[in-house]
Amino acid sequence: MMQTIQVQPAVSIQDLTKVFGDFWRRPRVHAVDGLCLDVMPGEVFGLLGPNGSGKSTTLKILLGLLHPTGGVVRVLGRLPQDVAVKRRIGYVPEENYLYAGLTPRETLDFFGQICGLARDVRRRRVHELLDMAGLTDAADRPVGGFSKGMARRIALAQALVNNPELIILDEPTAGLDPIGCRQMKDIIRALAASGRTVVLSSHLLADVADVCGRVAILFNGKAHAVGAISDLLERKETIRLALPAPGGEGLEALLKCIEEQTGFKPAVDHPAADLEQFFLDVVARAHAQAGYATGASPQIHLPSFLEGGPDEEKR
Amino acid sequence: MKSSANSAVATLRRWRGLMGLALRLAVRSRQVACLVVLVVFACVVVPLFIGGDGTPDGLMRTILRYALTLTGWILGFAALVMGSLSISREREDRPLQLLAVRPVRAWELWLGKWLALMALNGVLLLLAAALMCASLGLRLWHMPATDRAQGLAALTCRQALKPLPFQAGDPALIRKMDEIRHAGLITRPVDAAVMEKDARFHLGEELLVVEPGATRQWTFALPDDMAPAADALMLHMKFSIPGRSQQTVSGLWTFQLPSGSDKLEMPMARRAAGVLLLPLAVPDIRKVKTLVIRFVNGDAAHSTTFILDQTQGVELRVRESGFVRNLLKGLLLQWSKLAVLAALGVTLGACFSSPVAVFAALGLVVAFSLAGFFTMESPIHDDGDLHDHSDPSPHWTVRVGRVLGKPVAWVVAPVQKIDVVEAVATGERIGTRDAVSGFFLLATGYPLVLGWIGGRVLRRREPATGVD
Amino acid sequence: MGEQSGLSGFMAHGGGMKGLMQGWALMGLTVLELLRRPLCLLLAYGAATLVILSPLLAVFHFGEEGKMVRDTAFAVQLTFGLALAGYASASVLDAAMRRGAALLVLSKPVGRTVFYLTRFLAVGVVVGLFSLAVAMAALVANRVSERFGGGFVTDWQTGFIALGAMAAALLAAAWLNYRMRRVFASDAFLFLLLALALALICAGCFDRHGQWAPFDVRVEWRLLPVNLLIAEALVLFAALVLMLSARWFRQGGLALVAGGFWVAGWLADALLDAPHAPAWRNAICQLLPNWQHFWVADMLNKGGTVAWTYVGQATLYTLLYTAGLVLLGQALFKRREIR
Repeated sequence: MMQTIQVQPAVSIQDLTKVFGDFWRRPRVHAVDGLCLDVMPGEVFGLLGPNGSGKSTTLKILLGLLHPTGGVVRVLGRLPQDVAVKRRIGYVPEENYLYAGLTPRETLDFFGQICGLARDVRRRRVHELLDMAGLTDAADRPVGGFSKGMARRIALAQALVNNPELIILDEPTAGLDPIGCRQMKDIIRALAASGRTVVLSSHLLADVADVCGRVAILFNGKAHAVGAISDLLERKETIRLALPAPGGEGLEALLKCIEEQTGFKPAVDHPAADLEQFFLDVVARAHAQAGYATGASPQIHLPSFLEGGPDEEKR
Repeated sequence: MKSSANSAVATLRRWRGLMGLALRLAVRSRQVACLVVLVVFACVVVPLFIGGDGTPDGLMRTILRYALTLTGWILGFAALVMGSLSISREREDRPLQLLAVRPVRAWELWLGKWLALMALNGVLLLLAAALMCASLGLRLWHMPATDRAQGLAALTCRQALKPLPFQAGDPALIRKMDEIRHAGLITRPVDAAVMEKDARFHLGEELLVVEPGATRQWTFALPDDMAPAADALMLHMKFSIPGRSQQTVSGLWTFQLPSGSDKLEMPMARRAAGVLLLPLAVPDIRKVKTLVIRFVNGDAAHSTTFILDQTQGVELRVRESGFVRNLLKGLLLQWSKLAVLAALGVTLGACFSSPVAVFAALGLVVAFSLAGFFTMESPIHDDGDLHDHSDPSPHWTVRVGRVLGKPVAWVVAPVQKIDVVEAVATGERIGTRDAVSGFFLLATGYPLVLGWIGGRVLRRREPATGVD
Repeated sequence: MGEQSGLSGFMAHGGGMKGLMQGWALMGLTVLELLRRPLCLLLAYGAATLVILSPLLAVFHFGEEGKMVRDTAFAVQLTFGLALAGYASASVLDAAMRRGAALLVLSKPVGRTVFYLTRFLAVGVVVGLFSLAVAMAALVANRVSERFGGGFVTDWQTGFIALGAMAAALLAAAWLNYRMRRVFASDAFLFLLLALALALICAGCFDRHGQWAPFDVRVEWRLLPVNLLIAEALVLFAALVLMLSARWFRQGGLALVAGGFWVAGWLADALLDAPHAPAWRNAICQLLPNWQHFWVADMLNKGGTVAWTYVGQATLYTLLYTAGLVLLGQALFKRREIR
């Protein structure tokens, strides 16, 4: 008889509540209200919801930045405020919270230093992360002068410098151009493929649909739908057929046959190409013709130290 | 064993990273450049315009006072402001969020900021010391040769020995107590100890004035560790008339060793102003424990009297160490005081938003400095003056203020114990033990307590909520 | 694409009535923004409380009770006012640019000159309100330390009325915040002014025994010229800080340099001014703001007063110097890039 191995969730949230009060301690805003969900190791989990639904608040509670009003939260089996668990987490905030006076190289080196990495390890990882972010040429410019997209790349790089098991991303694609969005999504997929758990929050549905396996949709601090995207989106009551467009009479005959069989007159339209994919194809052709790019490098790949999975010593 | 060593290395690495970050940000925000300019202004520019009191050594002392005082103010203010802004600004501008999700403890955040300020203050104090020495050297170089020796005399370090107080049972003391009793100066019942204290005070006042033909005597107990130099002993007299006005000092100085037979006599007939220094070449000085100095004012022809300064009067200056060593000890104490201010600033920055933290830091420093004033008892207990000027039954608020102020004054006392500026400027020796113990108390004791508070507050606060 | 400068720019962007309304709106918003900062409230309350407590908590009087209370009041106005003026000037320009608020305003049809001028005027208004509060507190404190029939007697009654009024002002603002969710800080600041005015009226209209007494007898109005001069010094300092923050200095560096100018201004006379000094020393001495012109507390000793002609001269000095600083500051600000 096969034994079932109980896998501990990477993130466990039970009845989480967060209430913000005013000066007189009267409750003003119920940011999170009885939220329950689990994130299993190795999956990409999305928190969706309109503005003010409690996504960022939930993430900040997971990171120990906010204290919950009620409920139990465990991150990698420990309390979020536990210093030891922070060695295994990477965080990309929504806004640019970097030190404006430091260069990207210094920023990454600093965060590597406070994560306890040795100098040679830090040097190697900084080099690889700058390469991943496409900022090798801008490595010695102060971050304060960067555009939002470039700052976002550095923010992602600093989140990965300690080779984390769990990566938390708050609005990862906000403010990025389509190339940057695609690259961010590619990185997220690559991180998940290497065994890491990714939790991200966003209100850009297309981006979430591309990368997430499971999602939770929040509204007013409550989860109104939780599950795999495929399960949530599948509409079993309808089917779609895609085929090369037949000639005028052939189409009429086909439609008449379907109507006779089903009693339902089908709707006909021409499927549209994906704008993002179209954009990327145009840019790829232009890059091939020009041979260089003035902005960040369009090619992206995961650094070698991340391909091997999280560090064993952190477990 | 290996894992704990690795853990210690990682911890040191973390602290170094946090300290390096704070220093780098301070340099790149031009705060350090501003501080360097201000220190140069205080130690080089201001001394160029100082006039002094008309005497060469007075000029040297004035330069030292200005440079040390201004440097202390500038660095103290900077320690408070930069310390307060370091954490509070990071919290408001949100980089603290990125740090908070790292394996960094709250008190380590505090420690990184404080260590950075300590390093910065240390470097700036050394710079100030070098610039001060250069300024003094420049002014000495421009002095006439005749004044240079006197100017240099101000740049030595001597332990100032006060004359021994009158012993209990001394006939002069008993005589003075009787005089006070019979003069009807007492306005309330007092015990013998207070009476004796008042009598000592008046006798001390009498020693400062030597009428024509009168004799005065001072007894000094010499320390064990005197330097065997030719100018190890110097009699220092400061006259109460400042500037270029001069007093007649004519008479016979007698320096008597305890054996009774050895006596050194030094007749004098001159006019003196400001400070008068008389080197004493006493043989085998290191074997001498007590020295009695007697002066007979031989100026019977003039009506002026020999009036000495109330605070310094007659002192025996015993040379023990060089000026630069004394200056460095003074700066070590200054550094440790800056450590307290920096710790206070960083802790308040952890507690409050940036402008409130700066105001609270400055306000607390002022309030603590004044605590001693508000906790003073009535004069009868302070200086032996039996004339009561204060309200005999102070209002309850005054009493409450005294009760609250006493612990504050007790906390502040070690910080105010040694006046570094006056000690270095007047050449008074700062004891090595005082300097080292002061450093350990101020640079570790106080910051430990403040760091604990700051760490606890940082731990509890929610950085994501931003400005309070 | 350049911006039309100065007055022509002001007129081009709807000068006249429209421009005045725009300037009034900007200034009003800035004043409100400053009054809502916790630090402004802390400084105002702290100063007023210290001034009124000084005659109540003094241990030694040395026969100079009135002088001690007066000097304490003026010193508090100067030190707390410095902090307020420096903080307000730094936050309306430097902090606004760092946080992006200035971007929003300047993206509207608002010229940089108008923006800068209204910022300065707003700081002046806040400094003026603060000085008014401390001046009223000084008048009350001086009344509290009044002597009656020889020997020192403190008027505890008036002192507690003043402290009680200030506490009531805080409570009223707290109640409004609790019930109507109004902003506590600005309400408390304005209520403080009201409370001190009421305390002053009480102090002037009643004697120690609670009997009605004619006003103006027990209030020493001769303190007001000194308060006014100190307020002018604070406005001058605010203009200096604003000018420094327009382009060159930020945050900690700004505090240090402004502090350096403050110290240099006090030392200028002693170090640089001499009858036969070279011309360059005199020039530096004249260029540095001479704060000593504004500290005339000693003129009130032994019943003296400050001549209004002197106040007029000092005011003229303030106006000219401030105008120069504001012109320089707005010229620097015009060339500053805002990201």
